[in-house]
Amino acid sequence: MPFGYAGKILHINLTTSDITIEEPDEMFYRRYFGGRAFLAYYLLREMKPHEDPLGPGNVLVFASSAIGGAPSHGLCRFSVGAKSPLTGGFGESEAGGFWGPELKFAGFDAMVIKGKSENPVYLWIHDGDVEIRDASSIWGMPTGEAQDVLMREIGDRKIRTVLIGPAAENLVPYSIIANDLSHMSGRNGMGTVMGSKNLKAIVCRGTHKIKTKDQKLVGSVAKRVARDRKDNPLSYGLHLLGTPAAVLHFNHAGALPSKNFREGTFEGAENISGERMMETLLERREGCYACSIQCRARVGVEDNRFTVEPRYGRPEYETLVGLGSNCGIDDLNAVVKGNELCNKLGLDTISMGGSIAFLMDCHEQGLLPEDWVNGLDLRFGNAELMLQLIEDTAYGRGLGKKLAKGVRDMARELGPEAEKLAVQVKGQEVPLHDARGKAAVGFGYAVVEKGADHLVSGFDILYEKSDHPGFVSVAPLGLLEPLDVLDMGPKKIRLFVYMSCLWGFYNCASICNFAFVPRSITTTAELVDLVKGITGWETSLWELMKVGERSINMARAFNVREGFTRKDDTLPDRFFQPLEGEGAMKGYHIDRKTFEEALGLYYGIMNWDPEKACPTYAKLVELDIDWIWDHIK
Amino acid sequence: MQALVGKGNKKPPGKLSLRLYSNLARYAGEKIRPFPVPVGPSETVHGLIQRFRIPMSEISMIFVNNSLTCKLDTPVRPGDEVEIFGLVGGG
Ligand code: SF4
Repeated sequence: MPFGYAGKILHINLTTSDITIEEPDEMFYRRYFGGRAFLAYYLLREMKPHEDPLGPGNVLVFASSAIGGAPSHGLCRFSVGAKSPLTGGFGESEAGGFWGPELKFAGFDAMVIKGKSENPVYLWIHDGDVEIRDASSIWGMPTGEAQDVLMREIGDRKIRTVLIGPAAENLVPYSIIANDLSHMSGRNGMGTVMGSKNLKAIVCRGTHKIKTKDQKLVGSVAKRVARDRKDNPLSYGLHLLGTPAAVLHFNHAGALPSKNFREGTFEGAENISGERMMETLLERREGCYACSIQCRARVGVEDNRFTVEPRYGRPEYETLVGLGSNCGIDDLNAVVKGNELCNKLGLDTISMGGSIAFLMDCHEQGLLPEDWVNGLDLRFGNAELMLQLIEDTAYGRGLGKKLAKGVRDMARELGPEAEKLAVQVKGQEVPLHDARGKAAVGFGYAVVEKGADHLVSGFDILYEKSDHPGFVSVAPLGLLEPLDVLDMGPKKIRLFVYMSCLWGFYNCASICNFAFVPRSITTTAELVDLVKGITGWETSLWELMKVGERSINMARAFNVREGFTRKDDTLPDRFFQPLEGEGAMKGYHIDRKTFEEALGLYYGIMNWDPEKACPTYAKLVELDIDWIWDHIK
Repeated sequence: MQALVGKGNKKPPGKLSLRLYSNLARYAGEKIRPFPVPVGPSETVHGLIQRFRIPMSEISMIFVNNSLTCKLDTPVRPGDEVEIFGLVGGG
């Protein structure tokens, strides 16, 4: 067995029940590594162009990586990919937790699923064996109940599951895959693709250990991080409050999305803050596989209106703002309940919250026809309605039927005035970071192949001060000048490209960005040591960043093949309009000309055709993926 | 005259309210709420930062009475609300 990876990729056809195992060579692992590049590799090779995302022709890939699950912190993530039912383009979603490592312990680095089962099924993967099992008894169940049944049926409480809820079965295009109930593959509707294939769950259990070439080297990095994690301000901050720490920070900075991104401050921010949640609702802190940083937590609510089960996890920043301030809601318990409902029923909190906020905004602007409103009080701030609309969306009831289309399609139906309020890119609802307050994040929303995503290049605030540990940590990439958060000029685009190559590698290598620089503690030198120590490859930061760049080009090629062009790399109108309200950023907006220039420059730096926004043949040769040229020329 | 009154006054110094956000909480025993801090007559933002041994590289924004200040020599007095923000990266 090789070092780091299992050397096996599982192929399952749900139409024919055929199961085969591919054993790629070392070159494959070293060139593509895992994660996003594996997804793009199989989507390009095994799917015909222009397939229906909900048809049997869509290909669903789950991928760990050459180093995923190795005994070190922050190597727990896995990626899920398919053609996205939300965007019609490259679909990708990552999550942490324990499932990715367990897939490898069970003997596989990745899994490629094709076809469609006639009846509901689940997959049971254990120590190299694979079974397709009947899931009719759990079809229709919320995620938690389904997991309970699977644990009883298999008779092992140590199983690791990925599961869909009723929303995915009902084909809501932004349905998630819940991973042990509290880690979500949230974006791009990957749960919906599982639902369309009648695949309710994938259960893993394995006892294989991952072999490392130089355990001493791997152990020394993991030990250093475990020792220093409380001294590093970034990893310590993550441990203390997690991502919710950002609520009050962004509110003070004037860039906390409020009322469908209309305003940048929220009067009720304190009520939905990470501080308030940790003081009043914390059950316990926890972490992912082998990770000493422990930045996750469980919270519970007992309210006279409802209770919240802690096993569905603590809402992250995205959810607090998505279901909270962006809907004008400052009722923390209701937001935590909304998080639980989304995780139970299987909905992405970012897209769900974005869809509700959009309707509330349209309503306040008088843009909703009476047969949409139907007597509902759709004003910003209605927490009770928010909870009801989540359930209605999952089950396709009432206004939920409209919400289940997502922001882009609702706006098309409502007309041009509503389209101006639609905060989405390529059909995906925008995460809870105002592009007007973070230039690189905003630019990323426009160009990223999966549609608006915030985990691309790191936040601008990491790079604005010369003594910021985030900035200092990226000097090995040649990023030597601090840049203003609002700067979208040439130097920022260069930074964006370099950082998205590093982040691209993270997304190929099961790496959690809350454990590595620039957002956290593990340095680029330690990153290289980990890869060397696990695989035995004599590698460098240069080679790893090329993997990241390769994965971006492969995802881009998939979109080009599906017909995407430069006009799809755009931002919502809202970000070109002045921020309203009273915050510190009031009146600020992105300048269209600056944005267009940045876009042209980006294609130039990437060596892409500026009109087609497509990799050139030369670029593909440089990245050793010229086989892709036949797919896009 | 004023100074003389001050000299003879044995009253303990007044207090301001200090709040340290996110990673900075560790410089005050992990307090995540505002807490009272005694201040003398010529205290500044910088003096407070030094008193709690907060490294400048870990500070991102400072607010005194809800207004953003970039000047470290900004004076602070009893009754003021001082908020110092650490580093967050979002997520
Ligand atoms: S840093 Fe946090 S999210 Fe990342 S692997 Fe560790 S515990 Fe999980």
